[in-house]
Amino acid sequence: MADRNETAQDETIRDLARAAMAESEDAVDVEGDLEMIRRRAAAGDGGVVVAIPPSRPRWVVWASAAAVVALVAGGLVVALRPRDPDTVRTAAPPTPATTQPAQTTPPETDPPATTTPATTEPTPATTVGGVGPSPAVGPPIVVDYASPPPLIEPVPFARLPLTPNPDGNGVQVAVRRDDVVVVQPGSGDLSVVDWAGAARRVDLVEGLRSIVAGPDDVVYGLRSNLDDYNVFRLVAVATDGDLSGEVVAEAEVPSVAYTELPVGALGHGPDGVVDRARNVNATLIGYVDENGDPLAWWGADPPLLVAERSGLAPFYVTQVSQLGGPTWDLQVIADPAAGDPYIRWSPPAPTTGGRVVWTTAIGPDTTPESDFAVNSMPVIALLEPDGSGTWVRLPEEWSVASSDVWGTVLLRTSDGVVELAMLDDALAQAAPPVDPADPPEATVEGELAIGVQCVDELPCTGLANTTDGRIVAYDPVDETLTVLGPTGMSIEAVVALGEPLADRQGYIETVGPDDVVYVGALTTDPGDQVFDLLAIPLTGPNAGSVIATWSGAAGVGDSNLVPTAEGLAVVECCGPDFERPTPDDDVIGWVDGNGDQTTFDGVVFQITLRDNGNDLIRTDGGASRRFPLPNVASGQRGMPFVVATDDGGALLRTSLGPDQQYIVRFHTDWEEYRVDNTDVFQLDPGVGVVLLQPTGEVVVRDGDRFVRRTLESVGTPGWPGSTESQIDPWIVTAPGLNDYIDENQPVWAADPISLAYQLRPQIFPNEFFTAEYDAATGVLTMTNGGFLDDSVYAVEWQIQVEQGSDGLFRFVSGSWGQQCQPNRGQQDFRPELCI
Amino acid sequence: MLVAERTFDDYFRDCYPGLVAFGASMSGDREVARELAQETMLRAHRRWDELQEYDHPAAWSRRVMSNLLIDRFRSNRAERSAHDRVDVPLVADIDGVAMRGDGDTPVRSAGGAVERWAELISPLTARQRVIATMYYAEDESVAAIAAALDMSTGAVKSALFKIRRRLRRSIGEEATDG
Repeated sequence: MADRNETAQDETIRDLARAAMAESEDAVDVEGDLEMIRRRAAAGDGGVVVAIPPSRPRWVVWASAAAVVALVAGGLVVALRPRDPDTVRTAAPPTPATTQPAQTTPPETDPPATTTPATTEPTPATTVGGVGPSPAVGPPIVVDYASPPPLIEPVPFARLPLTPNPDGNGVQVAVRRDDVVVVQPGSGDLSVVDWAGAARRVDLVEGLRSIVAGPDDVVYGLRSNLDDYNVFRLVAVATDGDLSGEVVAEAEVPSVAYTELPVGALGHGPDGVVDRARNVNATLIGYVDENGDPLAWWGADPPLLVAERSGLAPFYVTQVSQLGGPTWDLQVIADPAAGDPYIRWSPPAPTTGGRVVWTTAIGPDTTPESDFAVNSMPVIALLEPDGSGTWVRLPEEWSVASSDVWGTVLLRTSDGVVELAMLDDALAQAAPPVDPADPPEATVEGELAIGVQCVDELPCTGLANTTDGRIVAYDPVDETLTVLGPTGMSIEAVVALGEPLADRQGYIETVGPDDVVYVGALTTDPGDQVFDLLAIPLTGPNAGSVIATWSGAAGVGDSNLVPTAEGLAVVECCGPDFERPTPDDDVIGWVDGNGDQTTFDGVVFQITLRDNGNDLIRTDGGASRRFPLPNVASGQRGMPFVVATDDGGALLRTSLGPDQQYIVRFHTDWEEYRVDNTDVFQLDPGVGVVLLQPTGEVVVRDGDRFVRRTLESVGTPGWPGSTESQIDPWIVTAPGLNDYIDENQPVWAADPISLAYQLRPQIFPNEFFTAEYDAATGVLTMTNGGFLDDSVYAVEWQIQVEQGSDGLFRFVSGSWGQQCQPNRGQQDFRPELCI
Repeated sequence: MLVAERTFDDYFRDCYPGLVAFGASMSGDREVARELAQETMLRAHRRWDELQEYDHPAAWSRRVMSNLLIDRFRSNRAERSAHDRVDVPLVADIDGVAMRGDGDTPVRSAGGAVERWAELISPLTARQRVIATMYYAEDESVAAIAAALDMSTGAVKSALFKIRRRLRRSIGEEATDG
């Protein structure tokens, strides 16, 4: 309950908030601003360039303005780089295109009139940019020139001779389902290149710009109109069949709007070729087949995309939205010397797998003397259907030439050769082979999406893993179960509990199959301090409700509830069982989301102790693997907390005392029967690990935060070396130990007993280990016995240690002796061999 | 019964002042608030035929405004981060508040309630600012906030817990600082 001070603070907060609202409302000129809206609406929002992300990206405004200047200048290219975009006013937007019948009297440059009139009805322009509420935007997908994304290496699948092109016009490329169409200015033909790299030439009387290919054997592109300079012809040219190379349909588009187009300005829409760059998503010409007959799109509609950009180079944000789909927030931090090459910005485009690509360049301008920047370091954003995305970097000489649902074509022109490669091939080559035994290291550290909340001192928010690695939090304040993503940094769902459990000291025990959470809570009998176990589904019609209760089953004495295939086995801490759990243990059977009995087919664990072994056994279906327990985990009470890791190993939490907490990272690369002591981490003082994660990280509590950490950041790995014992003289040395301590300042060197476990990191079945330190003499005495040896029963080491000015203990000298089995020699520890 | 047809002008007069106030309270900058509120209203105007059929067109505009504010905040944060990297001095952040040369610590002068509220919520994330303003300034219920922001009520409660804790701490520090 909030105290009086907090209540007063809340009132202060509320008063200030209300005062701010009132103050703001009073200052609003409602009628004046309403008039402004009327004007803007009447002007199509084109008359004023506002400082907010406009409904049309600014660069569209600039490009249109540049086109106007170019036209007015009568062909003179006016280099306009709008350093001050707010001074630029929009040109008239392009008018909706209408599909025209193919001319029965074609221009002189075209073949005789053999074209079939296109019967496609004009498609009204549809602009999706800037209309309606902003869709949900995913997390920022950032590219930063200071830490460039990974470089991919395109693998050419085709090489064509480069046609000399003194005008410097670019090679035109368009991807189709079964091939790629290439048009080289001045070549007099186009090339149809299949995936094996074989090229077939098709004569062209006139070149094509901004080409789009398919469906069917047709390529679409822009041509000038010698009869009317105010319009361009958007023609459909057959690439196969009787009319190969001929125009089979065409439409007109205003030349003012389609001058200086970026790569990929035209693309595929559901009904025809659409404008991706100017009048975004307007259909410009309907699809036709190689004879000019109307043609429907093949398969699912291609996605319609829109990009809105805010900011200027070197840093800007582009939001790419898919109509009816996700919005990706792309944040670009380019080199300070990068410019705004607006003419080169390509619009977003679909690619394979439902993904979207968007390209830019984040390096410095390579032509600083020019008015138009040509930035280096080309990068591609790969945007996934789930709203996520990544960046990759292209080699300098490569660029994206075409992208559509059939793939993304990369282009390089050099040494008289045009080379084509597919982005998917480059990505596949760049992706490292997946080795189940060696998965990529998770490197995500940071604060979880939920914090710690407590009701008084207890209960507080508790965490557990689902069987597939997500995190579930029980929040006793909100009385909710929150499901987080695997990294814990995103919230997937919040499930309100059907009944409050905080008053019953509720805590989360585990999550079983079918996403059923098992929560411990005091029994409802007020006089009884026994905990019940409650089953609560996270999903389905019973989400948040208690669907099963086991009275007195949780928190009884020193028992642990250990997941098995059948349910939670009740493992007693201190009984005679040296296998935990055993088949004889009581089991609380798993239930599914409806309360029906079910089983768990995931990884389960068992430990063996004493002469049954000294192992952790990981069982995944029919396959089991034994890991030897390190010395720090060999004296277990009950069952330690263990989590299966994704790499086939496990994380285990254990302790030797309040200041000696350990996490053991069992790894599949351990030698058989040997502990790798560098995977035994002693936690730094004060670190409270609350959850082990399948990815190998841990979640620690830091005040009122939960923070995900690597083991290396919360603890110190064990000493990688080992002691060496000699006979005559009976001395023991620790080569390299002091140097290691000097260099790494390990936490285990701060305490002689912890140091003892570094000198003897592993014991074997049936063995025992003790360590005592005499502060007066500085002697650390370690005893290891119970050997399954018919001669030696035990060994004792006397280690002289010294504490340095840094507080850490170091090895000075050591001696050792043997204690023999009965009738096999001395019964005390002496520097003599047993017989 | 005849129901008088509601015009866009009526809708504008009802909603616009609140949107500006909401934006100003969150950003601390009346001009930013005005621009974003105008953008919201312009979008509403474009689709008024559809909007006027809504039971609560004001909720639609609130959602658009919230998204614009959050987007603006994120964009600005990215720019600020980039400015820091390239060592470009920044003259103002989203809140219109002058920043020191390191672009880190806001330097504020005593202002009105808008500025004081914006300063109080400035440590919060963009979404938390929206939630805080809706909750404290507009007395919106948890359910209404959840509906407006397309969040679960549990997520709103969780956010409010953090917001409350943070604001209490700030208020407490203010009191201590005198």
